[in-house]
Amino acid sequence: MIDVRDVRRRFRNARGVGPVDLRIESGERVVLMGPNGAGKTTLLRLLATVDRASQGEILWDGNASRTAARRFVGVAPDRAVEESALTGRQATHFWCSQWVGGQRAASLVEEALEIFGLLGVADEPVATYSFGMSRRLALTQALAHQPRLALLDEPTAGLDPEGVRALHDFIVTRARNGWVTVVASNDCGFAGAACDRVVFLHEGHVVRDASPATLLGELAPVRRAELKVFGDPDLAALAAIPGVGGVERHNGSISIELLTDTALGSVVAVADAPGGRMRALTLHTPDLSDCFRSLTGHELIELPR
Amino acid sequence: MLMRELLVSASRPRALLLKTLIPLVLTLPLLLGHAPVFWAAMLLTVLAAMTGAVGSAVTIARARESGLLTRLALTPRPAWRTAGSWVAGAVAVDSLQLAPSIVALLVLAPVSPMAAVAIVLSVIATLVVANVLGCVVSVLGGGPGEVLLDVVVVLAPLLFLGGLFTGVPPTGWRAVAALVDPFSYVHAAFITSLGGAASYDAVAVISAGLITIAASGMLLAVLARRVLERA
Repeated sequence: MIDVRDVRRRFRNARGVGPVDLRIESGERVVLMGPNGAGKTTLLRLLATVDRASQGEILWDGNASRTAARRFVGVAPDRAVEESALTGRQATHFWCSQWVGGQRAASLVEEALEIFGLLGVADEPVATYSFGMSRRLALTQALAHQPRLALLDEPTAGLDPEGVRALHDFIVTRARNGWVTVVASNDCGFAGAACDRVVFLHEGHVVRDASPATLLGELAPVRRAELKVFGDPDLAALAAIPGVGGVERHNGSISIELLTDTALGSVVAVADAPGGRMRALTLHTPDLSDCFRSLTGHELIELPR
Repeated sequence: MLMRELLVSASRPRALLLKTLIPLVLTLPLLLGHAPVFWAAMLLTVLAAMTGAVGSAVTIARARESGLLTRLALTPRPAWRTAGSWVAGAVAVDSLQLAPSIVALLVLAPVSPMAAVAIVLSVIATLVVANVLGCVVSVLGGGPGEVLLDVVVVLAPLLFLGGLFTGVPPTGWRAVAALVDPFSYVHAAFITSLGGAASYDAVAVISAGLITIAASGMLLAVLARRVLERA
C-alpha cells in the first residue's frame, strides 16, 4: 500500500524526518508516536502528499505520483478548516463531493455524520459548534468519502470519550475492509487500543516499529504508584516494604515501583501513618509511553521547562 | 467550489448588502452630480478592479492561513478546475455586488444595446482578470494584510498603463501598453456610457473582454497548482 524508501525531509532548524524506511500493508492501523519535533507530522504530511521529500521516494500502491495518490487519500489535519459560514452537512458534503459525486456523496455524508454523532446538529452552522464538535467535523470531512488511506493528525485531541470510541470503531471497521489508517498521536490509550502497529519516532528517525502487544510485553510488569501526601512520610519504611522496587520523591509526590500487587496495601498503610497523611493515590500501569522511555530515555510527552 | 462561495456569501446577508451598497453610494453621486466623465469612468473602473482583486486575494490569503487551500490541493481534482471554480464563484459574488451600480448607470445614462453589452461584458472581464490577479498576487504575500498591499502595488501600475489617471497618448509605448491592458477597455466603456469620447468602440471593448477572459483563464490554469500548494 505505502512504501517509504529512504525518505528525508529536514528543515533549517534540523527538525523534520529521515532518512526513514517504512512499509505499510493494506488493512494496517499504524500510529506514529514521538515527542514534539520527532517528525510525526512531517512524515504524515509526506504521506498525505502535502510536502515533497527532499531525498528518497514514497510509493502509494506502487506509484510515486502524488496526483494519483490523492484519489484515495483522506487527511484530517490537527486543526479543523474554518467553515463557519456553512452547516455541518454542507461542509462535509463539500469535501466528500471532491472525490465522490451525486447521490453516493449524499449517502456517504449521512453515514459519516451518523458515525461521528453529528447528525442531530448537521443543519446548524459550523460557527455554533463546540470545540469537540468541530473536531468530530474535521474527522467527518476527512473520512466521509471512505478513503483507502486515512491520515489523521492528533485525532483524539478535543474529542470526548464517546467521540474517541466512535473513532476507534471506525478505524477497526476500515481495517476489516483492507483500508489503511495512519495516526499521529501520543494518546497511549487510544493508540494501544485502535492501532495494531506502533512506529516510535525520535529526532526524525524510526527507533522502533512493532505491535503494541510486543512493545508492552518487552516491559517488566512493574506498576507505579504515585502518592500525594501531607507532611513527611517515612521513605525508608516505604522502601523496606516487600514487593517495593524503588521509592523516589518529586515535588510533593512520591513515586513507588510496585513489583507485586500485594505490596500496595502496605504502601497505603505506611503512607497514611502519622507523620504523613495520604491525599491521593494514582496507580500507573505500563503503557506505550513507558516503552518509549525505556527505548530512548526521553519522555513521550515532554513538558515545557 | 462555485456553490460553496455562493453559500458562504448568502450566509452573511448583512455583509453582502454592505458590499453592494458601498459601490452604489460611490456610483450614485457621480451619476446624479454629473461628475467629469473621465474621472467618473476612472472611479468606476478602479471600483470594479479593486472589488475583484482585493476580494479574491484576501480571501485566498485567509484560506491559506486556515488550511483550506492545503486541503483543496489534496483533492484529486485538477488544480485548474478547483482554482477556476473558485474564481468563477468570486466573480459571481462580485458581479452581484456591482450589479446595482451597473443597473443605476444604465438607467441614469442610457446607451445603445451594443454599448450596454460592452459595459456588462467589460465589467465581467475586469472582475475575472482582477480575481485572477488577486489569486496570483496571493502567492507572493503572507497574511491578508500583506496581500492587500501587494494587490495595490500590482494593480496601480496596470491602472496607470490603462490610461485611467492621465489618459493614453496617441503614440509611443504607452499607447501599445494600453492596447493590451484590459482595464483601458472597461474605462473606455464607462466613458462611452457617460457621454464621453472613448478610444475604443463597443466592438473593440467586447472583443477585448472575451480575449481578457480567455487569457485570464489560461494564466490561472498555468499558476493554479502554485496558488493552491504554496504553504
